[in-house]
Amino acid sequence: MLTIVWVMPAVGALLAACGGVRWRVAAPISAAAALGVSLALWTHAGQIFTSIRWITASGLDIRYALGLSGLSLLLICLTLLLTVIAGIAGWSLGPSFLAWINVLGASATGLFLARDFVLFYLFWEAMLVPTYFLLVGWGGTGRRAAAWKFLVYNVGGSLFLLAGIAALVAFGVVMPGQRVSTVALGSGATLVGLALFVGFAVKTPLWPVHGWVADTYAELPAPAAALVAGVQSKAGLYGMLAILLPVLPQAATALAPLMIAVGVVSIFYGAFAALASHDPRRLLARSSVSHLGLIMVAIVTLRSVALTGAVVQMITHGLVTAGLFLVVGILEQRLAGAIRLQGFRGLATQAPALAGALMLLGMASLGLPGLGGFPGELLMVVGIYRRSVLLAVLAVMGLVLSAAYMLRLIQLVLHGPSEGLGSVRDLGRMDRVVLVPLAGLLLLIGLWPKPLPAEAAISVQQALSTRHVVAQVDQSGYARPRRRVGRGLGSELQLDVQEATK
Amino acid sequence: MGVLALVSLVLPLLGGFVLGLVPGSRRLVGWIGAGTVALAFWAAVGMAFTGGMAFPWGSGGALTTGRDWVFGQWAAVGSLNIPLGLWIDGLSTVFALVITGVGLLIVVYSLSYMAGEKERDYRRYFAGIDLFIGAMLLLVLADNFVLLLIGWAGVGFASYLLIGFWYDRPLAVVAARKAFILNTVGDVALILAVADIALRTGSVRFAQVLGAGSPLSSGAAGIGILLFVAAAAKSAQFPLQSWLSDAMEGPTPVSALIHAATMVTAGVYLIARCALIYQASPVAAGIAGDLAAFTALGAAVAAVAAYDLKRGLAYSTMSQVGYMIAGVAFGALAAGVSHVIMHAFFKAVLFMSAGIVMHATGDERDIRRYGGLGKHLPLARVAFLAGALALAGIPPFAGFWSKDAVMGALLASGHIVAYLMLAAAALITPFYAFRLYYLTFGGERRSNVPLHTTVPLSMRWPTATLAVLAVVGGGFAVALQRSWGSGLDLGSMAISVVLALIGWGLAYRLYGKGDLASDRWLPEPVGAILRSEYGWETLWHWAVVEPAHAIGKWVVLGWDGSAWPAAEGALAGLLSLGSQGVRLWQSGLVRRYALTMLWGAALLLLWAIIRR
Amino acid sequence: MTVGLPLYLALSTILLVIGALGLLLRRDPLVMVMSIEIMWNAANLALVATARHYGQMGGQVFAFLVITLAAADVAIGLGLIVLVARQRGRLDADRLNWLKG
Repeated sequence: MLTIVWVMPAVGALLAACGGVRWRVAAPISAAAALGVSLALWTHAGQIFTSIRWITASGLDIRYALGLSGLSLLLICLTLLLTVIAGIAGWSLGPSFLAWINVLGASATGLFLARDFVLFYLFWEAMLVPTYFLLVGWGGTGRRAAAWKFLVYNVGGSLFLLAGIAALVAFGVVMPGQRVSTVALGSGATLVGLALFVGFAVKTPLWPVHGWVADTYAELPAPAAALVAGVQSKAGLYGMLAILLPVLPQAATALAPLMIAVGVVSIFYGAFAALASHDPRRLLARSSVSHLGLIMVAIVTLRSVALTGAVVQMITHGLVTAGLFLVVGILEQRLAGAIRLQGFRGLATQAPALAGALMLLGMASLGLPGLGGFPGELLMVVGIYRRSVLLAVLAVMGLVLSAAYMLRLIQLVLHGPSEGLGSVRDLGRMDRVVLVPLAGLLLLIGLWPKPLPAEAAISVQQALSTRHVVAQVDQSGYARPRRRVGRGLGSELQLDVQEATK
Repeated sequence: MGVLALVSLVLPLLGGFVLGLVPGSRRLVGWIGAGTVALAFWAAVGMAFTGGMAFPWGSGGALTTGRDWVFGQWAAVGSLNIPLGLWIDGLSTVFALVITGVGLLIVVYSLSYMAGEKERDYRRYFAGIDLFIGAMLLLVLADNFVLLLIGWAGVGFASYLLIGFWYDRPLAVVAARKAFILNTVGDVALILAVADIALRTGSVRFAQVLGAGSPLSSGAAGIGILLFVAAAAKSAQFPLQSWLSDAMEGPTPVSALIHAATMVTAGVYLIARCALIYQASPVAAGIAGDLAAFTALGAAVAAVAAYDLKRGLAYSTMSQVGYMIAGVAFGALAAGVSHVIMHAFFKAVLFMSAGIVMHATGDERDIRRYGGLGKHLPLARVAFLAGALALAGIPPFAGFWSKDAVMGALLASGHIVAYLMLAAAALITPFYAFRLYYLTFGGERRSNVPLHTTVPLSMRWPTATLAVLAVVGGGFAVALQRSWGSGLDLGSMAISVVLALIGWGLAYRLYGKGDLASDRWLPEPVGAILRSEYGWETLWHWAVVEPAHAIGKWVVLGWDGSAWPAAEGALAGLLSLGSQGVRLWQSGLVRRYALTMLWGAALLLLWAIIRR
Repeated sequence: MTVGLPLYLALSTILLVIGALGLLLRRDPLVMVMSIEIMWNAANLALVATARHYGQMGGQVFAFLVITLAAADVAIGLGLIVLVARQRGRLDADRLNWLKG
């Protein structure tokens, strides 16, 4: 059942790649079908589990294991939605483009489903391939250098991840929800945790390993940038949430100061850099670094409210960033080439619908209450506040800065007398098809976010469960492990918690 | 009752969305824009009659007697439950009535005032106004801090849209950005306050947080200060005041509705709503009240030198909101809230008259080019006079009853410093109000731009209605104060009347002839400083804005653009060097490889032997 | 008379050394391949002898694996050598370094 979810878009990719122009419609349709399947599984999160023995030798037990937690489900829905949208937005770029988009979607989906370290790593690496080819095949003028940088950074990060995962596999740790016995790993646990953290941080990306992100986002074709920016960064954060925290709780505690420092620096580095950016794509890339830094901080606080907020924010950040890149892409298409802020202005008079889309997405990005960016931010700040008032103050300062640079983007593009634009066509029908779902979802999440935290609740407990029992108890008393009868992963988790209580 | 509240809040929001998305003719837009607000007003009146006003509502403690009407859940995380619900009591009902009532009059006024705009902009204007009214109603009707926060930011966003309504004017764009960013400072202060409240009480609902036996006795100071920061940003109080005078770049009805009558009083609502917290913490109350009183005085002084009619009124708004916040922070809820209503009446009428004047003079805002307009615009003159008298606090006009009540309450409760500042402001208020009045309507015309003296019907009626309310509206204030149980203080009344009359007398003495030359009593450097808002703007620019951009440039150029690529390059160079070294081994000579292998085998063998 | 394990091992060692020396000292690839074959067989001898001595079949099984590997090795090696000889005419291992990195 779960295999279908990730294989379906892959098959669509194959059809599009081999079938040529006539079959390219298979790509978005297969992704949409997979999206439908995963939505149908909405209420079954945590109950479905697939596990087949794969490599069994010399004490290794590597499995083809898939599972579906609430967190996975949310991220998969995000991934597949963005895959469909990127497919529609990139329709004119040809069948092989759509195929690569689907490959990226399929590998990210597989990553979020994987419940075995080796499988996880395979999907992790598989995500690099489509991005590289999308960069090289359809990128801007600086694509070669950007692709090279992207590859070196990400493969470098993957090596750290591989080292960490190899250590975990060697010590017989099973993903996820099972604790590392302190006897087996001892003080090495911190080292393993560090390796994992570096690997995840490169992918996210966080300061100081963010070097690839601005170039990559600047060179990717806009629909691909939307997908990569929307999904790939979530893979790193997912790793932190679904692997680092539950598997290595002691390491997470030991590394917390480092991780918080990295997160805080990311917030400010990204925000200030965005404030001085002239290229909207670089601005968005840096703003991503800033927002992801905040999510990182929220995750490390180990408070269930903050983690829930982080999950919600991961989803909305994916939607917002994708939407913003699509809007920038539409603008570039209208103006025939890369755009610079201050090179033109006054879009609002020329293309009010496009202006409205940018305004809404920008406002959602800076976390305007009532739009999608807010619930996550609120929960994160509330949770961070539980850990440290100072951190919360730093976090909200990041929010003020994000208001500053987002407004700068919005105003430089939209306002003032119309200059340097010629006559710009407003949103066409296809553009609306692409942007309306994103905007609608953001509005909905802003007004009624309830389903997201509800869906994420079990995963958050899982991420913290070992900690609750072993290390420390969240003082608020939030997120006590709720009994939930189910097969597979869910019951495995419960067993684990009970075991630890003994 | 809850349904009525929900209707009053959803209708304008819905209208805003429809107007924002669907094109329509001017007439249809007007009907939707005004119609939704009218229905919202009807619903709010219904809400008041079905119980909102009937609640006994004293100082703070009785707030819980409001009705909590929950119709859903916004989100729930663990034990933190954030419902979708409305809170209906005297305070929220009063605000809802003011917002929809004054809002309706101003929307009707706008129908003609904005008629000169293109059809698309006309629609955009009413979408913004509807969005604002809906968000403002959400702010005052929410039953928990999170929904309040959504309304809070929603009004900020609507205000941003409307300040920057003429987005092709650079000044308007800058003003809008400044307003938004300063408001964001307030938003995040409110978010932090919410975080603290949630941490201490495990809830964000008014019923639990602000109810009787609230667990908020400890930590009230911090929350109170954070809430005041939020209120200061929204209500343009020192030190976050500087956006309001720039916000006058927006259309005049917007200034009347958002930046005078309603949005800037959101801070008053917040502090009144959280009166319990300020009761628990005299420190927070002192900071909020004294800073507000300080704003009241400082803004009043700044208004004395204003040449820009709307800026003069904006300073006046800051000053009057200072009275309100000082009142509610120090526990004089009835006085502070009744001043909100009175101020909504008289400040809206002042702005509407200013709007008529600007309409007639081709958007001229500089009083140096007015003069002698009274003959040509009798309605504007009478309405402005009514507003000015009410603002000045001359009995029996509206402002007297509430402003004096605030000052009397502070005197009675012994907050002498705040009282003295407010009293000084009360002396200056009539002076600047009548300076503006005389220089605009009295004397001779100082410009020869032709006047358009026809005032459309839909501008005349709202102005006249509000002018009447500015004259007799004091009855509402007295009734409210009586029903909320605070009496009149004759001693303080006498002082207030004397101060107001002195201020008016001075203004008449200096400006009675409407002669601009009378401004000479104020030395020019002082006037310039006052017009620049004490240089606060420059300070803010150099202390915050410039450094932020400088850091940004430094990060981009110094780090992201140079240091980082350099580090990457160094790493790449190192790797390349290493690979050069390894290349030497790859001689391509098979026999050398074989020798190496043999050596390796031999060493392994040796190791194995030694290990044994 | 039985031949003991030490003798087998000694022969194996001698063969190995001969092969190694041949590999290092000769420059004709053909002879080098032959030397490698001698080394393979030295190993095989040791495997079979020890297996027989300890009565365990693992070593003999392994020897079969080695034989097949050696055959494959020779097949590829000879093929390469023939190709090189056709292209270059002359066979000298020290000159076969045009693939060096």
